[in-house]
Amino acid sequence: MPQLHISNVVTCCHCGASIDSSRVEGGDEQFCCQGCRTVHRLLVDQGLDRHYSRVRSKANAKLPDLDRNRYSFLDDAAVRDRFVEYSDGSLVRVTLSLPTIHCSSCIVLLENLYRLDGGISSSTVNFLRRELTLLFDENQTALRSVVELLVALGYEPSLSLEEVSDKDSDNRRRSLYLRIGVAGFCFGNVMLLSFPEYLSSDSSPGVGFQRLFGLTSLVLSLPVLLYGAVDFFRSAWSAVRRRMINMDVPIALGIAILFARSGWEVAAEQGTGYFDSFTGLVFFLLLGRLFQMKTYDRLSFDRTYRSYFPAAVLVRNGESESTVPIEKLQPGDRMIVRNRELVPADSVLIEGHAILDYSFVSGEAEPREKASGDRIYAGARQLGSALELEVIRPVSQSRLTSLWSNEVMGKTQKPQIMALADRVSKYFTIVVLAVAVVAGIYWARESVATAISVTTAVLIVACPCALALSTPFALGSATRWFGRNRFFVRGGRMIEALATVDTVVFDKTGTITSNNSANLFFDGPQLGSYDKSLIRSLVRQSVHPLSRLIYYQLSDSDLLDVTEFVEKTSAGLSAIVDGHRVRIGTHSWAISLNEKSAMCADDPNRSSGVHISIDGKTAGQYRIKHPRRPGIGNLIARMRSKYRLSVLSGDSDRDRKWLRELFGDDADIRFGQSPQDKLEHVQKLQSKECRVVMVGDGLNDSGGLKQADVGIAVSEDTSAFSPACDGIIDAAQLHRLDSYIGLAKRTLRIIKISFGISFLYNIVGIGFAVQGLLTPLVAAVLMPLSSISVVLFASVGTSWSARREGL
Amino acid sequence: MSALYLLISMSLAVALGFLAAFIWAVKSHQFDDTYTPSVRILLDEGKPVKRQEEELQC
Repeated sequence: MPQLHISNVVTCCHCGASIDSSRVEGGDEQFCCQGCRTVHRLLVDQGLDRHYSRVRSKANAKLPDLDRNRYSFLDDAAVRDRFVEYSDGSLVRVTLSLPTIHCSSCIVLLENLYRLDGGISSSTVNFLRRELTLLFDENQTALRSVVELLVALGYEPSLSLEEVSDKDSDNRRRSLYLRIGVAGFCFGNVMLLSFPEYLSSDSSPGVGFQRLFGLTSLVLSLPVLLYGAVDFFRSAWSAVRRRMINMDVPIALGIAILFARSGWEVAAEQGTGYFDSFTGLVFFLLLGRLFQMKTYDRLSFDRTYRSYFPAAVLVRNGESESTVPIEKLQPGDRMIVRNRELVPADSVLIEGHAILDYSFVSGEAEPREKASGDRIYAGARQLGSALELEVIRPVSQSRLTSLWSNEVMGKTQKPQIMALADRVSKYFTIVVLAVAVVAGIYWARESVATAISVTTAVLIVACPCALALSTPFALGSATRWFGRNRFFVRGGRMIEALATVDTVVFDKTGTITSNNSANLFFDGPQLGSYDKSLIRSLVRQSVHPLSRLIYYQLSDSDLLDVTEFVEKTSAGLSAIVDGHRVRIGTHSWAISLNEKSAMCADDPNRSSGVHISIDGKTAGQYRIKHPRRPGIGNLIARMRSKYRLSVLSGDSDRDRKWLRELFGDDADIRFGQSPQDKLEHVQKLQSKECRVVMVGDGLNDSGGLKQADVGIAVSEDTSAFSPACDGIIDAAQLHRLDSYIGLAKRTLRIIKISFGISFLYNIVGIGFAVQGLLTPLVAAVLMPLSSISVVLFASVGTSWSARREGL
Repeated sequence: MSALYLLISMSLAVALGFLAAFIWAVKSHQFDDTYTPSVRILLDEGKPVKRQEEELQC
């Protein structure tokens, strides 16, 4: 009778790790280590444990191992300086990115850090950016202890090589707020001062006041001209210098003429001028800019491979180990890379069972096994127990770095699609100038003064404020709709580019297929429950990812006694389980029992199947398949007829059959593509006048993503690294790609229609102007009216379009 | 009607005061994060707990 062992697993009260022999007691609770016990005690004493349990229920169940030395590199002054923003005597300010912040309890916990570590004087969370800004006293505590405390609480900071500095966008945002504040203030006051002019009647204040109001309006309009509208003038000037006309040229022209005409009127005591329209115009235009400025703070669209790498790695020197920042790695250093960690530099494998996942770097779906003495390139992720590697090249000279600074990759030329608004404004400006000149000439026959008055009136009213507002409001609205559906676009311009695409290039690994959930299915005669127990007992002894997959698959089987366990690299496992000889591994290992050839790398039978034999008899094999993402099939079916499709894969061509079935005969399907190949493929398509959108997920796609008209990165977890791109789409939403492109197309259509609306207003306005009937009142009514109606149409229209696309 | 001179100048002065306050607020980074403060006011912090059991055992 087989013996049954039921494992009774105790977990640590604080971090959830399963406790083995090193159990630490504390009152009624059990902990895995002294560190957990200390932090737990601290939280309970401060009354914060309630928040902590809420945090823990959602965050990862198990905290990363707090190795004594993991953060020792933070003791190094140069490294520490990189993270410190501001230092004043002993008080130091640091901002850390904590991607695991996810709820309000996190905010409570993190803003009460001063109670958990006496040296911390204050801490502030920026929730949307997932950042924590700390102020601490260097004499009482160090950066390293602070980081270790955060890790013990479950908030491992992301400390990568690259600092993504958002200071510029912060400054721009603040400056825009200031401009809007000033413009709004002036606009409100000038409007009030203009009312008498609209309502002039016999009981009106009198000429003296008219002069006063006019002068005050002039004075109030000066800051708007010199501060609020500066950006428009700058942009228009830089366009004119390049002999081009963009959207800001007619705006700058209109604003300048408005101010000049009004200023002249007030100075010559001929009226109050059009200052209300002037300030209002600038105010609304600035609001449009703000609306379009929607940013996604916690995402970065510009990260390079450097933020993919960790900040430091464990290096062994003789008997001791220390953590070294990766830029300081020298050839000859012995580094230790553990489970799920990245190999940071080109190296040679010295010791350990290497199972390396290169999917992010080269696109190969299958992890590769390497033997001692093999070369291991930077960027691979280890999926097994710890490895010892000897560095052969410093990080800056690794193959990956040279790939990135490659001539071609460095100089990718993204085709510049001129924004629709800019193209239209070219014709618009010319037509308006022509009309103004003609009208001026016509009226000059009567009097020069009238002629000037009419010319300037035409230039004032034909202002493209409606034109200028439709784009930001439509694009801003669309950006928000996309964001709601977890497709984060870098900027409104990308939506215009997306609307014009006709070719879609897909990456295979990680994009069409899912990298996470590899499926295991069994090929062979049905396994009895006893056999399943035998297999499960055997694989439990191994940490190989395939073993673990099988172990979880057979989770409802019992565990039996195992003796004489043997694990051979690149071959398989073998043991006596409950009296039976069980072998699992490659075909040679498990079935032909030819142990010598099992080590040979060219073994033809070394397929991805995991073969099983029990007591010498073949029991079948497990095969792993990376599944297609759900919904992709339908997406491709819908897109086949409307777009030219391509698939580029860094993998071998074993998936050719089902890809061909999925994509049909017209699609271009290529395998074994290097990052360079992908880039060139996109370039070739573009040379044939195609507009390309490329969808990929890894470093191997980065060249293509940069070169394509629109590069979209697929991401399983938006807090993780994604390559430089124009948009990030959540993996679960990839199957709606065609709806997103559809919304982009509709948005462009809406912009065109709102141009039409603004043309109508302009025609009416110019009609008034050429007849010399453009009083300030008429201008003050017409311009806001056109602006508001265009804004409403753009926003509501986009929302309606989004609904129509099913978003 | 001459009161208008005084009224307008006073109201402009007050409005300028508000504008100054706005400018100060923007410059001191108060508008950088408009989301977290909205959550922060609703949170309630834990209070330190006295270890009564140990005291009793003495």
